[in-house]
Amino acid sequence: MSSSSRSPILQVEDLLKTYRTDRSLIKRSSVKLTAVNRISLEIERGEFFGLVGASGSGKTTLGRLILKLEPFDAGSIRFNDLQIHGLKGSKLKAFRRQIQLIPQDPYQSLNPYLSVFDTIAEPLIIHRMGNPGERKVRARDALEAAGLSPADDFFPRYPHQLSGGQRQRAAIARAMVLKPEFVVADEPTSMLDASISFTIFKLLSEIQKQKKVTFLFITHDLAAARFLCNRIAVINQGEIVESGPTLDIIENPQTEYTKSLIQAQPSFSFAQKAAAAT
Amino acid sequence: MSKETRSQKSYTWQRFLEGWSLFYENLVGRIGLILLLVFGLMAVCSYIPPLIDPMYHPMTGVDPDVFRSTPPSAAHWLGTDNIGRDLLSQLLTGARIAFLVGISAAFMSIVFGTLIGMIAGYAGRLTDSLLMRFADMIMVMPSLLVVLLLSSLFGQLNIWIIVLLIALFRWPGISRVIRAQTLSLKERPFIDTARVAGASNLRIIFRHILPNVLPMALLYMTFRVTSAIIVEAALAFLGFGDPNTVSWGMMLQWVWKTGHMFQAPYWLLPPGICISLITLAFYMIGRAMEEVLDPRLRKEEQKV
Repeated sequence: MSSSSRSPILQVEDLLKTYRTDRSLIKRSSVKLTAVNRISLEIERGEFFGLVGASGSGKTTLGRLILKLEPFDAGSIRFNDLQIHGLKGSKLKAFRRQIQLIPQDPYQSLNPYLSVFDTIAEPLIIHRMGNPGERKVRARDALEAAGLSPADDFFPRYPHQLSGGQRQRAAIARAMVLKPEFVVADEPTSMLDASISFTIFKLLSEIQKQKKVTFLFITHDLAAARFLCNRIAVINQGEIVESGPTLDIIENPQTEYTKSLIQAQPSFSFAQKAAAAT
Repeated sequence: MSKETRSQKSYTWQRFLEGWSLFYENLVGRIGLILLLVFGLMAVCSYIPPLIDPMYHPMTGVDPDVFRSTPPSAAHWLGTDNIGRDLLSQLLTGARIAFLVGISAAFMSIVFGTLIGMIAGYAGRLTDSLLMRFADMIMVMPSLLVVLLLSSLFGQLNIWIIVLLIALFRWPGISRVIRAQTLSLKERPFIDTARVAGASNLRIIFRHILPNVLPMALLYMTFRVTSAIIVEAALAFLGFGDPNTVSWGMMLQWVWKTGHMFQAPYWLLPPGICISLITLAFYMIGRAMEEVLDPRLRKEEQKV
């Protein structure tokens, strides 16, 4: 890790992703929808990078492409100087161990038939890490680091027995149990209320500082981005319209789109209070 | 939080309890269950008559004093057939065979149907098209006719071969339903997080999709039991059953073959009524389970 500490952890170059909306045999003419249009960006090791945009702007798609959940049409994504396109077998598995997802909707992102322990231990089992005893210790550490303690009380529970905030903490524990280098957090608080959102933000910020994890934080909420992120990129209709240090962009927006996003914020004072509180 | 004494019920158990209370409120389901319990009791009791006297053995036991079909009497509560075998013990054994055929054929067909449906839905593209066209082909095949052809080719069929054939012809309906469920499940975020965690396709199918489609598969199993019992009875009545087993279809065939169709109602009616009632019981249970699983079918005041 030390040898490549100067180079960015993630490099996205000229990335293109289109969806065809009509693929019937009769209608040959298919409408192409460009979700990600020639995007390039670099994320430095250890930073908290925000990707801000309205819904439908392509921000979630970009996250999915980086996680290799969907193939892309053109361009390249390099993670730790490794082309992720066409990764297979053990190399893909090694990639999967280093990059994790904190999903959007905690009501949908946990399998209702798996207990909290099974959910958190599953990544360890998949990557054949440790024996059952060690897995239990690591799962306990991860869950308590995510703020659900004592972990042994939560292990036998099922998602339907947890509140929304608790579920999201379990999902965070599952993502962090592999000790990944890079985490994509896709609007992790969009289904939670404001006060719980704030505690989740604080948790993510602590994780990033303590574990030196790089975050890609996808959000529509500039206030949250301002509280959390070192740098942000503003994305609109699949293109990055503006990027740079968070405060520069919020205080001195260059494009009309960013200005409209800032104006659309109902309570900007929330983030300032939050920033003052920490 | 630590003082909270919340019972740690698994999701499966919790769903079962909720489902059970809804099921029990359902009159149709309750009637079906009671009917089924009666048939279950019959199947269990079928072991008793041969123990009392070897002449009550449903297949080989012959009453030495009887030379033609006799109506109900004290010695033979439902009468005897034309060679003096006890009809009650045949009827009881028939319940056992109906359960055996119905449940094992239904079980096999949901195993095939669920596996194929999950694979088709999860893999998508060409695999999906091929498997589903194959399912369509089997679905439109007249299964009774094909089984008749096979049995005339290979002679008398063993009861287990019949079970297997029924299962092989009855999976496509289940696989279509399971495929549809898999299609929606695989877009759910927990499948994404499993893939990001590095889970293999097999792991995703069996650990994440299977438990979620299992309730639906079990529901379809009850409907398949009904159709399996009917197919077996039809085959047996047409004379293509296993000659070494006493099923209700076989009993009907013996009534027909010996010319007692209109002479011995005590022989004709019980197996006919039993076939109708046991299929009705499974069907009623299936309908009640369907209402439990699909909230849209519930009546307004039942909605939770």
